Amino acid sequence: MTRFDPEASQSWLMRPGREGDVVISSRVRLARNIAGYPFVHRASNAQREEIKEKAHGSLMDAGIIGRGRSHLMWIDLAALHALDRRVLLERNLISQQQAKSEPWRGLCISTPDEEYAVMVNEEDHLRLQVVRPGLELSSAFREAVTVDDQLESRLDYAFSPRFGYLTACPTNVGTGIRVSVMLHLPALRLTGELDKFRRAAKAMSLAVRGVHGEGSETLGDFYQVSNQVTLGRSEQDILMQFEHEILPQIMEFERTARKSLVSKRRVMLEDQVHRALGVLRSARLMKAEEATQLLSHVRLGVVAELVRGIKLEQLTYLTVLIQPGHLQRLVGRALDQAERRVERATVLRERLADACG
Amino acid sequence: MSMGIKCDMCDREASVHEVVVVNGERRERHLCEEHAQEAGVLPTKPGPDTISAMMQKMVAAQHLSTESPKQAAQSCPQCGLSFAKFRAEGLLGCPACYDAFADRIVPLLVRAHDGGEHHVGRVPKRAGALVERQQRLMALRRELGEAVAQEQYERAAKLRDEIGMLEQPNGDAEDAGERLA
Repeated sequence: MTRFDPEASQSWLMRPGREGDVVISSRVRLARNIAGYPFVHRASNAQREEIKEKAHGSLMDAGIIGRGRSHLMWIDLAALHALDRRVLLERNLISQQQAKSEPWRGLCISTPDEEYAVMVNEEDHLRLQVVRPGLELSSAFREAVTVDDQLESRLDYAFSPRFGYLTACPTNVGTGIRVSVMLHLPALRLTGELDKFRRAAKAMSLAVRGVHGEGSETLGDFYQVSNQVTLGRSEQDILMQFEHEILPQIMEFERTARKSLVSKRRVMLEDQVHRALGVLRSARLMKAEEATQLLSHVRLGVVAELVRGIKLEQLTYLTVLIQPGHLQRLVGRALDQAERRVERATVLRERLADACG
Repeated sequence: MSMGIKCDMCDREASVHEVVVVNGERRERHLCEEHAQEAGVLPTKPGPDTISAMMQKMVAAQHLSTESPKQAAQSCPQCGLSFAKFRAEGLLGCPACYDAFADRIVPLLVRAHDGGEHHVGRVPKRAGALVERQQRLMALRRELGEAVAQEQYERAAKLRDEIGMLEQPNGDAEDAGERLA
């Protein structure tokens, strides 16, 4: 059975990024389908196997392997330990749907950086994504295009001059591109100005959602912003809109709000940050939601120079490491919910030992 | 976490519990996720779900306004997906569905894509993407599946050869490339 070792990796999650005080990560995803087959949900199992083999062959053969700093790893998801599928899900390398164990689901990721991943037989035959820390949309897009070109020289894509790249869901048709950035906006929430950000996003037809998608939308004050329009606008247009319109605006909103907090509500801010650090460094039982919220406070503390001894990228990695799959993988055995709370508290105490106010 | 309190509006378990004190009088409200969203207490579910939900809503609305039963029963000649099934699930069956249902899909695309109705952006360099060839491949593969199921191995072998020929990257690439450009 294949294993995926989260601690052996040097994921992009652990690297600092440009504009990292606000932008956690940049992601570009392309949806592609191979011509001459039904879309995944209408294909027979034999066809899905065929698609998987074609994709696997093309990916490995495409020479993307020789990328220098990293190499490609192919994973048959059904052959992967359930806990490792969970780990991949928590790292956003696969979707909930792709975490199922059908034999025709495949994944190709670059290791050890995990910047590049291709899901095979998810909603579309191929979902290619490139993720980088901080604000790196242009370089992420260039990399995605390189891989796309290499695949395209080996596979016939389903494409129509009128509708563009054809996808199972009409909301992805056209460029098939989904550009998204993960943002940390704690000050906008504290100053009650989140609406400003939402309005700006909505005016540009961009979707805003919380970090884990459903449920508590404001969990940890992390927000994902992504484009919704894929037809009638070029990839470059969409990227330019992110890099030159929406992001500079949001970053300015958030930074202005932070400055105002530091100058006008400093004691409140210091109290929130140090209280969070105190709990994280002493608690013996910790829920994931609480930890995420507290880590968010500490993150703001690091940016505002109220906390030393810990880096932003370490905090980013910690928000992933405290998820159930990672904790269980870390101790090497299954843990029930109560045991996970103990383990989570322990990991946080250990990893925040050097952080101080 | 929840103690199994039922939603005030239905029989589902409440996930939102609200206590409001008005003029010293304490009032409780318990709502399930759906009714909390309806009451505006919870934001409607954000994210990619919303996109397909929006699509489904639009498809349903269109259905009410203009569609005849005959249109609903219409299906894609390539993969057999009926428009009614697309409406129920929000996913098309194959690349050919876009042309098969073009008259009803274009208005949806225009709304989902902020007015966009024609592709702008990257185009595959390879000519293999040509529509006719794609559709021929799809038909051959369907026949192949049938042949194998009926244990007609000779027919299956012939079909495989034909598919192999069509799949050749250098087939009619140059010529087709010019047409695509």
